[in-house]
Amino acid sequence: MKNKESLQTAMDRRLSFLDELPSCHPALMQRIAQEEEPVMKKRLSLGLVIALVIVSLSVIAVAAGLLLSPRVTASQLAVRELEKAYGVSEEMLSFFQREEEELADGTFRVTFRSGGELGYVLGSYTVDVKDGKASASWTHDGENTAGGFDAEAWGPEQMKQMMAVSSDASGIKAYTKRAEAIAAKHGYSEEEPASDDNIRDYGPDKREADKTAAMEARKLSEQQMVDIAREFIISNYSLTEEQISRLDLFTEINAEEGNAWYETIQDKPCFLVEYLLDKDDYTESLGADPNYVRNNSYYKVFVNVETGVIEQYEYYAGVGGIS
Amino acid sequence: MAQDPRREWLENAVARWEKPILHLCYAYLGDVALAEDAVQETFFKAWKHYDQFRGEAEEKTWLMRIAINHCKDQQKSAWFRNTDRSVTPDTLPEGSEPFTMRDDTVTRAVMSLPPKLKEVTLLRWYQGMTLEETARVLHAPRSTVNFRLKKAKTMLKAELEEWYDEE
Repeated sequence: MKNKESLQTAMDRRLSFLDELPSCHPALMQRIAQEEEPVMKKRLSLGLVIALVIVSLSVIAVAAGLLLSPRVTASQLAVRELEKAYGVSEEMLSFFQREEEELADGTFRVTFRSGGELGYVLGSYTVDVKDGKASASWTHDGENTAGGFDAEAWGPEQMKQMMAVSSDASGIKAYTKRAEAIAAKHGYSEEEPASDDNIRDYGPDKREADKTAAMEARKLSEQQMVDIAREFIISNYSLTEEQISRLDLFTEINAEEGNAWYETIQDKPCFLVEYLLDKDDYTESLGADPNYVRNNSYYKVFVNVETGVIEQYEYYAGVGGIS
Repeated sequence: MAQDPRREWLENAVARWEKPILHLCYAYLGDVALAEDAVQETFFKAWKHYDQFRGEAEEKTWLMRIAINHCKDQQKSAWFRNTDRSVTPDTLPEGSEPFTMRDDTVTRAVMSLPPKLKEVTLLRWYQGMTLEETARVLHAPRSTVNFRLKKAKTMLKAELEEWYDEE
């Protein structure tokens, strides 16, 4: 560029009004002083931040005309808490299985459990949400995660590397092998899932009956429920216009098999809306674009057929070899 | 009593980089309040993660990376996307320093670029970073940055022909 300096000068001159603004220094120092205050005060401040997060989530939902179940709100909060406390992004959560449970004292517990070869190295994250406050813990808390795949506990640093090779079979094989070796060294074996009578008794007949009951309870049209789910996906994941244009509805509206997309979730009759966000035609090298992990994404939203409330949602980023 | 080295570093960094980062964030976001927030957030994050800072040579790159990532996050928010972000005369206040029509045209043209082209333009040509530094800020290969710069140049060329040399 011939006039690089001129471009700088021109923009500096045109944006000179910015130089008249007060410095951020006093506000920054105040914020830092608050951060350095004793733990008790910090907790209060954290509570306030969480409360604000809930408010902002509600504002987004209300702005989009969406109604979210307390379970969904808690789940959103859990996801955000993991990002804040551990730097684990929602894309990274595709390496984990999400389990949700409401405890007797009203605490909503969300567990993100990794499995298979990665079960030991990635461990499990647990987030307890109560009265709008979230607290997270990890099975590897306190362990050293530095040093790439040489570390024995893998956090965001390693997951980023895993995501970068998510379409490369040999790359996946390499880190999986390493994870297996670490797990073996620690004598790790995957926990057997607890026996659950409810699951055992939930045979095909009951499932079919629940699906039909959910369908018959419908008060909203399938198109309305698809629209609700779509709005939720767009607002919750802040999709760009370009991504919105690529959203591909997988759920079949007015399916021949009438109850195919109906489910009962937590005793609530729901319609399942699935959307795919197909891989874009990126010309850049794979892994170079920070947004590439959003490719091959897959969204599931369960919409209450009577009220339109979103009862549950899931998201898979398509990392870790899932596509 | 000796000052906390982290605080001392922050004081110096704010004095040195506050304005360049404010200009960068404003040119990226086109909103004074958001840009001011971005600057404060940048220094706050830098202070919190001071242990990751690798030394003087990396300071600008590191701070610019934090700033640009924050701006990108802002841009992804539903609220940001649902607000009209076109750069009109009303949205670009006048400063105390006199400017020419051409200064105004250049600034608006850069601010109107698509985000990925805007970020490389701002870092490379406005902030005067090298290709290597720009690539490091954006966590992108040099070839990608180069490709985007060429694309940005093509888009700006129509309006700002006299600013460029043919390669």
